[in-house]
Amino acid sequence: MSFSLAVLIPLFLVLFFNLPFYKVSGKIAIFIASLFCIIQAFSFFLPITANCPISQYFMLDFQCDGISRLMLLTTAIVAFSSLLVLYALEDTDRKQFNFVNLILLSLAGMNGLFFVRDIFSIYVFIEVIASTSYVLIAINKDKNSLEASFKYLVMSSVATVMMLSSIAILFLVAGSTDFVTISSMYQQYSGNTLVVVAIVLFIVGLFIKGGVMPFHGWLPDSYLAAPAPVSIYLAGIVTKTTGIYTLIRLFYSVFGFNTSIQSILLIFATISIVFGAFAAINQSNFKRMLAYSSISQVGYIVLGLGAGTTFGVAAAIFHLFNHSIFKSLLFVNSAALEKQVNVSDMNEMGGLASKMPITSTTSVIAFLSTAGIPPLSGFWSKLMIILALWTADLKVFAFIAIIASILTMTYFLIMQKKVFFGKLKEGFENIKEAPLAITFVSILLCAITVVVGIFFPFILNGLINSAVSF
Amino acid sequence: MNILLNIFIIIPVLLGILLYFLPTKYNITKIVLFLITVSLNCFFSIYFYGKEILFNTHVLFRLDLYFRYYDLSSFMILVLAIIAFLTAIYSVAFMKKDKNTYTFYAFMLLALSFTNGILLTDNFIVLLIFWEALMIPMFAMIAVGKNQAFLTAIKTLIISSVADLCLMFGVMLICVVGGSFVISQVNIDISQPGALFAFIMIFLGATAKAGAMPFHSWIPDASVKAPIPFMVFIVTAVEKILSIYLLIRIVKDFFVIDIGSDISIYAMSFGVVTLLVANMLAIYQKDFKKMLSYASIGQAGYMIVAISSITVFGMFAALFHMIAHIVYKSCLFFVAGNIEQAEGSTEISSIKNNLRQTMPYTFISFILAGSAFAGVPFFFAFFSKEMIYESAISVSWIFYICLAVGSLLSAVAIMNWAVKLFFSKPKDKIIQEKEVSTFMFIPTIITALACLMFGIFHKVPYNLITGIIGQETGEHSSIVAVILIVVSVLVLVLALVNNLYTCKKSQSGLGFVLVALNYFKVDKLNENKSFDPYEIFIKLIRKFSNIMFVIDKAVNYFYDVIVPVSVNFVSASVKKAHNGNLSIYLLWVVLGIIFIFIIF
Amino acid sequence: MSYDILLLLIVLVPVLLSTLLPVIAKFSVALRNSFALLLMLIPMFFLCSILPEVLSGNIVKFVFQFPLGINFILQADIFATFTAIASVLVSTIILIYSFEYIKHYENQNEYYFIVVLFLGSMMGIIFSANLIFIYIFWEMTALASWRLIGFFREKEYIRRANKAFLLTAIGALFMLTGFLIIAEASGSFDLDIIANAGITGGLVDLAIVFILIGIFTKSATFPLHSWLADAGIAPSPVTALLHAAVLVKIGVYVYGRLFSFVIIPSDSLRTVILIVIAVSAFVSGGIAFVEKDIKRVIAFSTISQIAFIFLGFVSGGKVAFAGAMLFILIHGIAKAGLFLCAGIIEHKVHTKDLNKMGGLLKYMPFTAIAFACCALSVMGIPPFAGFFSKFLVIIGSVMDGNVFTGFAFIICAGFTVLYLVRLFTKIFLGEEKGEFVSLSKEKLLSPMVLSVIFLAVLSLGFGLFFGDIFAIANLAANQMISI
Repeated sequence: MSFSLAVLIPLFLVLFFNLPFYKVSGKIAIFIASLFCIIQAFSFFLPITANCPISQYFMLDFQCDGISRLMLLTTAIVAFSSLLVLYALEDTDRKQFNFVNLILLSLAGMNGLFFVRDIFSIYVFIEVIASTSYVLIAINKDKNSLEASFKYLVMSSVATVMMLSSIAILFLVAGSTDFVTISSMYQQYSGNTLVVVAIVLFIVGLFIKGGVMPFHGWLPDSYLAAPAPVSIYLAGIVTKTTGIYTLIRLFYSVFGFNTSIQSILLIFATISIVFGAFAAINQSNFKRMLAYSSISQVGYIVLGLGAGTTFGVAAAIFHLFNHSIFKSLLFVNSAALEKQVNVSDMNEMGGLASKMPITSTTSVIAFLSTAGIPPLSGFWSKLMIILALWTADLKVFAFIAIIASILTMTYFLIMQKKVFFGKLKEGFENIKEAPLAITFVSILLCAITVVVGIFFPFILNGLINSAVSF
Repeated sequence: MNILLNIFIIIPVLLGILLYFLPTKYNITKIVLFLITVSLNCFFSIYFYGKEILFNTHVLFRLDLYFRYYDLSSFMILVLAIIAFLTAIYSVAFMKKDKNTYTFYAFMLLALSFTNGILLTDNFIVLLIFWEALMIPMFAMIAVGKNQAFLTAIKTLIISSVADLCLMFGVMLICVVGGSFVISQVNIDISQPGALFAFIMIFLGATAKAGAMPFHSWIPDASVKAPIPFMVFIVTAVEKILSIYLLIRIVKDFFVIDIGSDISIYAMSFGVVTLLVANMLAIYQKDFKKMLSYASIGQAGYMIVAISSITVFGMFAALFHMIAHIVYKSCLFFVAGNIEQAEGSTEISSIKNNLRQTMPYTFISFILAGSAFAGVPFFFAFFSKEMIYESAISVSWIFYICLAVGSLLSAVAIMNWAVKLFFSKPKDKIIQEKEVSTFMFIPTIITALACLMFGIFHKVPYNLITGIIGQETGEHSSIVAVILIVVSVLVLVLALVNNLYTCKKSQSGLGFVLVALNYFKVDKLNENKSFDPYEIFIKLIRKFSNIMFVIDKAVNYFYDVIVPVSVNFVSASVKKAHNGNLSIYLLWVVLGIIFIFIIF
Repeated sequence: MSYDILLLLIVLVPVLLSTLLPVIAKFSVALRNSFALLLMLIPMFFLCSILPEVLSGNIVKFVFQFPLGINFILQADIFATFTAIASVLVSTIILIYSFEYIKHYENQNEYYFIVVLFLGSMMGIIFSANLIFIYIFWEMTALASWRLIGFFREKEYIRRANKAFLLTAIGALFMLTGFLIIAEASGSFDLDIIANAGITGGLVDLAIVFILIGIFTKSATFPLHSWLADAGIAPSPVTALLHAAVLVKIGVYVYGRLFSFVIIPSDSLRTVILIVIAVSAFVSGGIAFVEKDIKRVIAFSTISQIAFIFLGFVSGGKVAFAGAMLFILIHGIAKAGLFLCAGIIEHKVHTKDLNKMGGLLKYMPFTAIAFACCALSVMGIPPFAGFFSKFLVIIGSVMDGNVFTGFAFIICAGFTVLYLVRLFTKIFLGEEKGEFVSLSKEKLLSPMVLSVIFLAVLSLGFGLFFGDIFAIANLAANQMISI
């Protein structure tokens, strides 16, 4: 009963907000939406209840296992933080209201994606999310956000075409679209070319959605052009759910792993780790650098997946969770910087640590966790990925993964030097700390990173084992 | 029975420290304390003389240290105590007006206790501890001297620390090859692997202490800058005693070397080189004290030659010569001190009036000590030199000739200085009695008389040493002895004639020796920096360090420039690829798909 | 309180409670300083209370099983407790010194927080007996050294701090790969299981090489040393803490911990390591002789002295091991003294260039004496403790057969004397360069001078009472090298 609520409640909320005769102000809308996110986050701790009766009317069979509950939690946290940042940044009521409705819609789409068990409805929910994010990116209606949204529209429509054709082929071969029949079909026909073509198309579609290296063209521009709360929401969770979560779902519960799929995943993951990091080193814009860094970190998740073992999947999931936390923390920091210093070029900034202590300390913790410095959560997930690769005897890829974290460290150290860690640049004397909403969010996310980092062993059993027992 | 340890080592150290930290108003008590300790040391060394005492203590460094007081060490401690007593008396008067005399006294006591420590110990580690710890009082005693003496002190510290490191490594090898840290239990046959390396290192360390050639260049500088008591006590007494003591232990106890072996030939030639070069340089010195310092390096050469003949007779001769050398050299240094007190400096140019009239007693002691130095018969050094000649000739006659030439040079040098100091015409007329104070005078006279007395009654030291080394065996035919005596007398006469002949013509009394040396272009060797082993060593080190500095800069250049530039280049090229238009991105997607199909 | 809980507290108290320091600083600076000192004294007190237990031979152990084989094991044997006491002792003195030194600069809260965190992670490395937890605390020290080196926020200093952090991070990552290879070969991350597995062979040697890269970056051996020399720009208590006493010692300690009996490197690898450390000792000795900046000279001298400690651990005998262990303590004290003296000099003379100094003896007699004592101890002149440790290390290596390396290190000891004497004369003796005429005579009672004198007295004290610490070292060596 409970999970279909996760989809239905946001829809009812959107309807409720847009009743013709009753005007809801932006602030209240944000408050209700963030309340919903909090409830969704706490739903993670409720036990999984049985299948809900309403579902047979919609011909959808919702099922919920560990992975989707974990994704629910991550989505809730990121949505909550983007709503709060929205509350701090946007002041025009109109825009706040539109914003909340769009976020609720995409939230509904995502929740649906987590529970659905057949590939066609995966496609449906992916389209829901994609359409809401086109509008979200272009919400400011200025030149480059429109251009970025257009680019995102073209690229993801290409991806959707590929996914639809592969779903068609699979439906043709297997007779029905739900996971069980497809996986049983796949056991027999894994060899024939048609099925292979279908799988490849599906993978490429997901790579485009997820922003893996050669297919990531749209990602940097759309993160840069989107308004701050949108880029938090997009970077934090949207690309990861539509792209990577579906990849994990497909290979974990439907197709299983064979050497050629693994090699595809591994090669593309390494490309995106290394070149994503190199691209990020030379950037002068804070958000653009974060975009490339998230490409590189997504590469790590796919690398974990490429290990092929359930331990690898668990590592990938854990890194996905961690990454969405500290990546959205970094984007929250960039939003704070944008609001206080309204300069996006890093070279003009300098020594802001003295003026904005909370933002700088949280950004230090976020960057250390991304780079995989031990006491924090990032280290544990990277260590698990490397262990998974090592036990799966893919030592070369593990070594590349280890050494690549040096590149991550380089571009973050450069960022720290330019923005926070140096002497205060003249002209920044009267800068105050970011407003309370933003600082509260950054402290919350930073606390999650530190807590997951320090109490990792206890969390490992609770959080990860439930998702994927290894 | 470790009161021995307390008396000889701990009491001087404690009193030294006390002397150093007592406030200035107790100066008189400081001097009294200083004299008491020295005389106490002297009394106990006599009282315990000849007893065989073995004891083990845990007091010092809380390690179990073995101490062995037996005839050789008791003899050495006795000689040291006497010289320390004489220097103490001398320095009380000599350094009265010097402002940091009391630091000098404190460090002198420290040096005394460390030397006693070396002589007493039976444990290699303790030997090393005291041997290297001696550097600190030496540094301080030189640094107390005048006009920027700390530069020479630094030079001394570096040279002696390098020498002590050789010694340390030698001792380590001996302990490892010999198998134990206790000195008396070690006895290594030279043919064992690593034993030769150990011998070379420890031999170098020991001879360096005596001022042998490569490590000698700090002694002449110190003689000018450091106070006279330092030169008497440390350079003449402590250094010589320690190096001869260790050389004897090396040859007698540590290693089993057969007499004619080529190792002893190399060692003797090493001694001879030191001997010849030092005596040649002694001729050219313009300062009386510098001449004396070079002469003492030369005499060290004598002793090294004697010991490295590995014969019991050689050791006997070396010990005898050591005592003789200490006595007459300290007397000569006392004379130099007196002259410095009277004339202000021992530079040849600054001595105005004829010292024979102004300082008669110093003149007499100079004559006695000088003749002992030159090797005039019936003086102290004569018998020891004869024995050394005999031990040298028993190995090969070439060594004997070099020794003879060496003694000729030293005789010429001392006579030349005799003329300059005491027989030259006074520059200004006023001649009045300017003899030094009694405190300085007593040690000079005692040592001078000792030169004479022990020369005549040479049996007394002779029996003392036979007690230690044991009867000098081996047949030494009387004919050879007679020839040796005749030759050395001839050498003396030649030197005298040359001196008298030339001093009539020109002022300097060097004569044909100077001509010979100029012919060999030896004078360039003297006093120019390029031949001083210390300067060569430092220049070498500086060259090496500059190369290392360049290497370090290159490594830094790699980290600071090459790595960042290459990383930026790669990231810039990746950045260029993202020029933002959609068609490029779609092209990539197509490429990606083709690539996947290739893999599949 | 049972011993293993004490052991756990030794590590956790500094690490976790250090986060309170910035908060306490809001109330009063004095409270923060005293709390920081308290956070250092508590581990010292606990260490002293478990010392008798450890000395009696049985190993105090705290085990907490975690999944994935990364179980949190703390193990205190004599070697670990001895090194821990050494580093806590020196860090406490440095902390007291920095009360007065750091007073004039801003962002002090971060300084105290990081120093205490640093000490905690140092304790972590010393006591943890699981490879992954060694790596974790290793990276935390790298993080701490990054923030400390970048204390003065100038742009050039930050670049150097980043360079230091990156270099040590690269080394650490290589070390992690080495750990993974060993874990795979022996089946677990715990040191005891690895020791029992007794793994050898080509693969293990490769793993040792990887780990060595990490160790050589952390302890700044020649090719990977440039971050240590550059980090001279940090405040001098930091350079003292980092270069002299603690940070560089971690690399050497881990070598001693891992490669003395847990994993035995093959003989050919052992000779290669000996050559590398000999080269490092020579090169850094040479550079120190011509370097102009006072801190860089002392930093390069640390690099060459570290080679001595390596010599002790690499040659593998009991005497060499005991010598190296004592070398860590004695060199840490003496070198920290030198760095703190350099701090006092720099504080008073406001320049680090040797050519602008001279004749400071009249103005700073107490610092001069302390500097001389510490220098003599580093040089290895007898009454000071440095002589004994140097003697033990070299005789240990000679006993284990490598005579020529021993001779090479004797020459290195000669180098040490050369550049330290040059340093002393250039600073204190000689004629003044004129600008210091305004200097007032320093007073004895300032904490900076007192801590420096205490370090000098300590080096002399350990020299005179060397027998006792040698007995402890011997016990540790027998315990570690049981073969």
